[in-house]
Amino acid sequence: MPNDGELVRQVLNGSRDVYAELVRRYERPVFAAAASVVRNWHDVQDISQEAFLSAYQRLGTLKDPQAFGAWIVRIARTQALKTLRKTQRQAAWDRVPEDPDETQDSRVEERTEEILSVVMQLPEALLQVVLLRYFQDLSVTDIAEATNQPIGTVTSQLCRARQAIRIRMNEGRS
Amino acid sequence: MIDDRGSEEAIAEAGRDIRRIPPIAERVMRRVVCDSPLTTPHLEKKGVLKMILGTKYAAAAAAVLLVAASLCVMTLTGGESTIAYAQVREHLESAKTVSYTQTVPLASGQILRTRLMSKGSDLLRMEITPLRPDGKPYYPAGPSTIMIADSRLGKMLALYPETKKATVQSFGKLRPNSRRVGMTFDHVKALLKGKDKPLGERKIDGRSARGFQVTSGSKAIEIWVDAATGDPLLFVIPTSQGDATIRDIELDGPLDDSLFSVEAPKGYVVERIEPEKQNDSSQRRKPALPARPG
Repeated sequence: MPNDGELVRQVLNGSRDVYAELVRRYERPVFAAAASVVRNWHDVQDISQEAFLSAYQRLGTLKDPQAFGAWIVRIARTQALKTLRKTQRQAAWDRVPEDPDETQDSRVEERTEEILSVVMQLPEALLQVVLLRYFQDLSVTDIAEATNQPIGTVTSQLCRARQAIRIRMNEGRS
Repeated sequence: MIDDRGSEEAIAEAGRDIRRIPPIAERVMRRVVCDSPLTTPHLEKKGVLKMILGTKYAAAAAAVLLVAASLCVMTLTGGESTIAYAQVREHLESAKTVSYTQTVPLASGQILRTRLMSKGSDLLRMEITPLRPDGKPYYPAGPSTIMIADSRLGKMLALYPETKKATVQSFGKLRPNSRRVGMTFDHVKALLKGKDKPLGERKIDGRSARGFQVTSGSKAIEIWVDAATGDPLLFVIPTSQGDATIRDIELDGPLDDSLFSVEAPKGYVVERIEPEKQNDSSQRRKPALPARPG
């Protein structure tokens, strides 16, 4: 499994198709980043798509190709915040009530939203491994290869991330 | 209180929820290919990448390339007020081949370094190396892209050495001709006949150099030549991002025809792009997005 840095270099060297592998690798983490901000799956998809396109167009400005994962997640989150602000402004003008029948199935679960908001507060290195492990469902070995880190480091990062998430969640309940 | 197992289950549950969203890779890639043929956006501002990777700009790009080659050659000429300058111009005008290295600072802080070789007005080869802001190349192995254009054959070849991929494109109806290139040549010559003034002497790469500033309209470029021979050493062209430079200039050096072959070398996977595909506007349409509620 080529690591992120290798894939980014191949794309920059003209292999556009390789970008699909980066999209597949990070689409779920990017969904999670967007879903931590907006509350609608359709918006999550649109934001994620725009985030990947924006990242593709700016790929040459990425100083550390190995950091693609954290970078794309950051782009998605920024994009989602912009969308949210725009939606809020629009809503303030329109004041059109949502049709519950149409939105019910596309709502992000409240519980998921809560977890995501905690996950997104993790430091970048921990955030990346959590997103790959739990949202992309990659094995620890695959994460180690994708992020170019030893397996032991990934395991330890996951452990620290879970601990941080647990503390935050308990704080939220107390 | 949530324990470690509880927090892991909660995250895993959120992960499963997220994985219910349909994948978007295919949709993204359709737009990557159709809307954004740019892999190194820092080249976009210079309009170079579109012609190198171009899926739809090949014809115009080829023309631009040949114009660019002429411009570069002509940048080395012009000015009439000193003997050295006139010698340089004469030397350049009679040169059958020219090669040089151009560096252009980009808005992103990166630098685009291009080794350009031109033979006559029909053959052009550009070896493009993007550099990091600290001047180090992204890919130590060499240029990331090599672009070769032959206007006699109306063909352009782009090579990507690291991935061993190549694209071959035809200029189509916009095939440049010598008259068009000649007109551009004259146009630039007229620009370079602007007001010139001496800039004195300085050392460039250990050689004594005489400098001239040539002003045409609001643009003023610096030209530095060997004080003894009049050979061009350095050109400084101001841009909004800083100074672009041309160095390592060689006139009438040997440039083998094989350097300008528009046939991909062995081992490359070749993609041929036909002119009609380049102009197919239907490919640029954005794919439909799912209907939004409300």
